[in-house]
Amino acid sequence: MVTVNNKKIEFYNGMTVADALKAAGEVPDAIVLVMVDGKILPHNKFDVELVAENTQIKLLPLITGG
Amino acid sequence: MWSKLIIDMKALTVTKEPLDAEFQELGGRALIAQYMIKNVPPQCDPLGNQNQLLFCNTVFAGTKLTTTHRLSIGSKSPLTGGIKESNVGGYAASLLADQGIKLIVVKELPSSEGLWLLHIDSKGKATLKDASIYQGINNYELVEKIHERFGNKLATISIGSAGERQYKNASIQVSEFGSGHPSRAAARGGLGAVMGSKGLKAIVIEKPEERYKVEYADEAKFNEICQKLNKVIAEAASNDPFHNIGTIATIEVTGANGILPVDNFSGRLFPEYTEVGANKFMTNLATRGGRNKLACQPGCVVQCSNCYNDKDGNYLTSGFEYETIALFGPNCHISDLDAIAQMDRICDDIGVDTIETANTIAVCMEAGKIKWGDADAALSLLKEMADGTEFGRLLGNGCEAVGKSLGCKRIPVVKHQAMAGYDPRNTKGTGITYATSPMGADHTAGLTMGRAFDDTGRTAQAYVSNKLQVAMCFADSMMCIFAFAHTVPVLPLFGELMAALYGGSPDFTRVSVGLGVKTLLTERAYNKMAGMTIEDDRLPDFFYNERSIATGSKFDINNVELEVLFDF
Repeated sequence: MVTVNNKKIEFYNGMTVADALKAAGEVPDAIVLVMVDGKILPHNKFDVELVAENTQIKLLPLITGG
Repeated sequence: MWSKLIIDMKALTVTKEPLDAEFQELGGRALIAQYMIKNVPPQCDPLGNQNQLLFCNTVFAGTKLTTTHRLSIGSKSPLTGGIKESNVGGYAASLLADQGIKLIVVKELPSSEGLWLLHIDSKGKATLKDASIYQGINNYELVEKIHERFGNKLATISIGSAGERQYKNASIQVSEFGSGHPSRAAARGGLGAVMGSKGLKAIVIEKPEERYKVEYADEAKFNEICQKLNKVIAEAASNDPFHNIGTIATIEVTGANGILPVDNFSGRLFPEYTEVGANKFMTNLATRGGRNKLACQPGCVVQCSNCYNDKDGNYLTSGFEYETIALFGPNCHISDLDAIAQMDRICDDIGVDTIETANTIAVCMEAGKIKWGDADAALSLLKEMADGTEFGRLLGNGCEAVGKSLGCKRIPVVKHQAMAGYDPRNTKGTGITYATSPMGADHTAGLTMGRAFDDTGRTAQAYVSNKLQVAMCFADSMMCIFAFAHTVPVLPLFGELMAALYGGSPDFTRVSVGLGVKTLLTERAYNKMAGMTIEDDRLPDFFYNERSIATGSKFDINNVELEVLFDF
């Protein structure tokens, strides 16, 4: 399984971060940070970054600037 | 009833009296605006005897509303020449509220050379003490000495050597809750210079033996609404990058989309931005014993602060924030996070605004004074400021003064104040805010990134800037804007909070108009009386003429749009 926020997604070999987000129904816009196993992943890597079984993906929307 | 302290630096007296009835329901930025327009002549010399320096608590001070203990500091700014309110976290506002003090007014100038310290003891007695022994001492050492003298149950508000020298970029530093480090800055607009002109080196606020009890119209109702709001904020904060990482997380967005300023707002991208980004920061915290998720004030649920250690695991700085990292980093073509942390530490220590200072360094690089990306050379310029050399004193007068002196054509300032870490061509609503905010180019006055349909487009930018500028006025009167940002779905609750605290109607316009629109228009009226015109509501020419290489965008908001922005 892969977790996207609190949603559990069925894992399969070759699954990318983009696939996991799509399966979870998430379309993060430019100001949402996506954290994959505790590391921020740039949006342009979603299509190429593979996920592993038990990967945790968290969406962190930027609410304001610091 | 809340108290007001009046500090007369000429007579060297301290008077405690009840807060004026007209200010009882005000706080923070709203109180500063109303006090200033009634009591401080707009055309006065910011460093002269007619200017006053104000320290005040928020509308909800002393209550359990999370992050409500922001300290607002206000005065006529020596940098912008207009009204300035700069608010800061840390422990001071909380202890002032515990002391029952809503407002401190510092008036006049000393009749002889000297430095003083305002001491508010645990019994509530406030006295001015000779502080000449602290002359020339910077904030970190000063706070250590204050702790040795008065103990640890206290908060400090202080200036370093920059404030004493009346640099126009001088900040006022406030100690953090927990650590006591003087790393929280009321940075913008040179308020440290005003404190220096008045010979006030520090304010020491001890934890009172008896805590002031706020008077509520309906305490049970207030606590019920407060609990709801705190819950909303705490739940939302758990997914907030500022809580999970820190404000440095912003770089992950701005670095990718061209909003991050690079090489003095050149409009270029900085491919190495991840070197000063969230993953590097978190790795350094984890491997060196640093920490994030720290609260700078008691009761904060956002907890965006941090403690950043050097390579040997020794404390280097805290409150290490996006603006500092963006502007000393990519905007100076520097990708060494540790060097930037050193710069942050020096700025906090001598007491200068990191935004103003970093832009000043970038302008020095553009003018060829030092090389792009040369962190050692940047550090040596900071040392010149600390040492007070001739060029160091020029640096202390800010980005515009240095840019003009070096013949630099691209000086990123509005109302003489340097821009925050967002390129206005690629977040145009933020550009409108930079241009029109009474505070000068300031990100906290209404950052629109991600709020309009397209950050580089024109659609809705003015609308969003207008709404956010009003919202930031009332947010800055009530609480930390990072917590406030999570309350948007439940904004009307603030009207109910006002009614439960002060009585009267729970109408939200008490907040949106009373603390928001009225504050903004008062500040603009003050600036107009100080001599500002619509020509001051413009960005520097190069943002209109040069395209951002990252996006192809120019700042194409026309003057009419800027001029009608506040025709409510």
